Amino acid sequence: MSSSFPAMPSPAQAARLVLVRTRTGVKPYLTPWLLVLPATLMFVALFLLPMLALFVSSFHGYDPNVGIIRVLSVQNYVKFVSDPYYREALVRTLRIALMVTILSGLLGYPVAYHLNQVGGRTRTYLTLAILSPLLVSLVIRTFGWLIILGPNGVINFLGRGLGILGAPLKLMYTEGAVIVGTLHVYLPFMVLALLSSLQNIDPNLYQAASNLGADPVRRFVHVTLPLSLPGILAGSLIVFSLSVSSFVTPAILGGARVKVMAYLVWEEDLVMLNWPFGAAIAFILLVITIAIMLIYHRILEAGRYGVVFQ
Amino acid sequence: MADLQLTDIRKIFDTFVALRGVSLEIARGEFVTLLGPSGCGKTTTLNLIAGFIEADGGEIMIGGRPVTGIPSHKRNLGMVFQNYALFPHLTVFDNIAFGLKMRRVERAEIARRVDRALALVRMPGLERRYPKQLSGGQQQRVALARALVIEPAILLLDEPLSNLDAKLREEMRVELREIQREVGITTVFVTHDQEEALVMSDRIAVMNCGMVEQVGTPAEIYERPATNFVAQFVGESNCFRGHVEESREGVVVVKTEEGLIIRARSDRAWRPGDRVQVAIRPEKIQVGESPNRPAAIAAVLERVLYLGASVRCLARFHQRKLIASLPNVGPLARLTVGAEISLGWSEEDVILLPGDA
Repeated sequence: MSSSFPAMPSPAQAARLVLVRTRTGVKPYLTPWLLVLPATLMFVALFLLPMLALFVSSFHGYDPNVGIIRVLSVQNYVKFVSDPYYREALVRTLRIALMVTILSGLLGYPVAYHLNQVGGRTRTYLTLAILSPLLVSLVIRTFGWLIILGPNGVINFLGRGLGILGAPLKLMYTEGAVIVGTLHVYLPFMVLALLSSLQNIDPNLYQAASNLGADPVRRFVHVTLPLSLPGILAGSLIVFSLSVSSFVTPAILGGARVKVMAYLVWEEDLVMLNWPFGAAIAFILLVITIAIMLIYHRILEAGRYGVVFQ
Repeated sequence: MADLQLTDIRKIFDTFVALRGVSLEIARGEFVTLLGPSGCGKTTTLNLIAGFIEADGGEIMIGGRPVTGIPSHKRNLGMVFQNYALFPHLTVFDNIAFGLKMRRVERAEIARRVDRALALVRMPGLERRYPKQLSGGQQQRVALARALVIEPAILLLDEPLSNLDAKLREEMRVELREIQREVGITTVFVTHDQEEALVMSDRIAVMNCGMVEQVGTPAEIYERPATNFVAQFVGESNCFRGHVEESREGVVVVKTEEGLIIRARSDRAWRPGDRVQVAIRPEKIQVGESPNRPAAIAAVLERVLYLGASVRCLARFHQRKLIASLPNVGPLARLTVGAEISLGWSEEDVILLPGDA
């Protein structure tokens, strides 16, 4: 951080530095540190330390009759890995997050592309429309899906009324319901990430590609798509990490039938009161998510168009 | 036969009339510059030729064939953009190869032609670099190679030199022209820089307010501007308003508003009483110590600007400021500010233009 100050400040910079010093009585090189201090303190006190405590507690034991046993062992991790019930929940969680990420990319790209084409006021209104779901509480939005997907919900009601469906379709408490509900919540993040990278593309590049003989399809494949990779990366990292850890939507739309990792943590902590095992589950999810994100980033960076990430 | 022919091209953006009937013929291998201030329609003209936008009227013919309705990717034109528009995600090689890949040229042939293009723009050995690792001048060469490698019917240059620093810009003027001659490609060059236009062009089309004011060789444009705008925009002029007193055998006598009598040569038929403008280039004015020639006037020297290669004298004649530009030869001591000097010119250097109504 101190390297952001040049060795020899220009006269204007020097004047500014002197001003800072005389006004506040603070040495100028301390200023950047002071600026980040409050946020850093909060981050350390409210996130880093609790996480550390959580990590330590994940090695503790638990007995329903005694409570938490303060030993250090890997038994919680062994339990998770050896029981297919937990392994399946992990795979299910990752599968749902992956589907949500892929679908949000496929649905979000055309929207972002269109938003980038339209100008001025139209874009503002459309962006607001895309963000509008975020203005409604997560719980309310998810209950909305219940009305649509339930046994007597809109889909089944219409289906039976029109004679398309015989017996009601089982839509609630399925992986599909969780995917659709989660997708609905996180799609705006994907659109915004894609939009910002599309906006960064110099419009002259399209003309150049066209001039060099690229039809609209090849222009998209060879210019637009590679240059929007940073947006695809950012969008999918945000959406994946949010969906992999989401709790409310899977709990309401999937319930006990579609258990995801966050649901397991809740169950262990608040139903079984086995906090150490709950902590272990949380850490397994955290580490695997970080690993997946890092590998994904690496793969894109090492790929043919890695230069666009620099 | 013209390689590129524009006939009465019109273009309107919403309420702004960008082009109001532009016609221009460019022969094979010719280097023609569209010169004008910003907003004159020169870039619009270039974009219309490139096919990025469609005209609202008129016809564009390339190689004798009308291109109306043909999208830009099927026009086979090479273009160099003001900001070069190199693909940042592709190496120099892939940037230049882009057009060839789009034409489905085979790999070995692509490699050969990219090599040749890089040699043509004097920049071999940087194939694996990315655009942002190159200097502005290098990027420009890559952009030129990329445009030329597809062997386009016409080369379009949109102010390609304006982002280079002054020294490099002057070198590239010469070099760009050399490469263009080497390839022998018909070229349309857009610039607002009159010096660039004069140095580089076979012919210049001076544009203003969506129209072509004059088309001619650099010398014609400078020595014989057809309109007041051309005289003002290309180079500098000392201007006088007045009317024709008499016109006989190509010699026109003008009386200016100050009562000055100026004789000019002109092929046009002028009639006594016609309102005219008289323009004289600063470097065509001779400065003397005292009025000693018939065509000379007495003026007061107000300032002397030293420019190194030349010296500019700002003088006052009646209420009018006059500029004379002298080559920096011999002693300059005789130029005393505040002294009376004589300004003279020969009548063949006087430019006669129709005056405003």
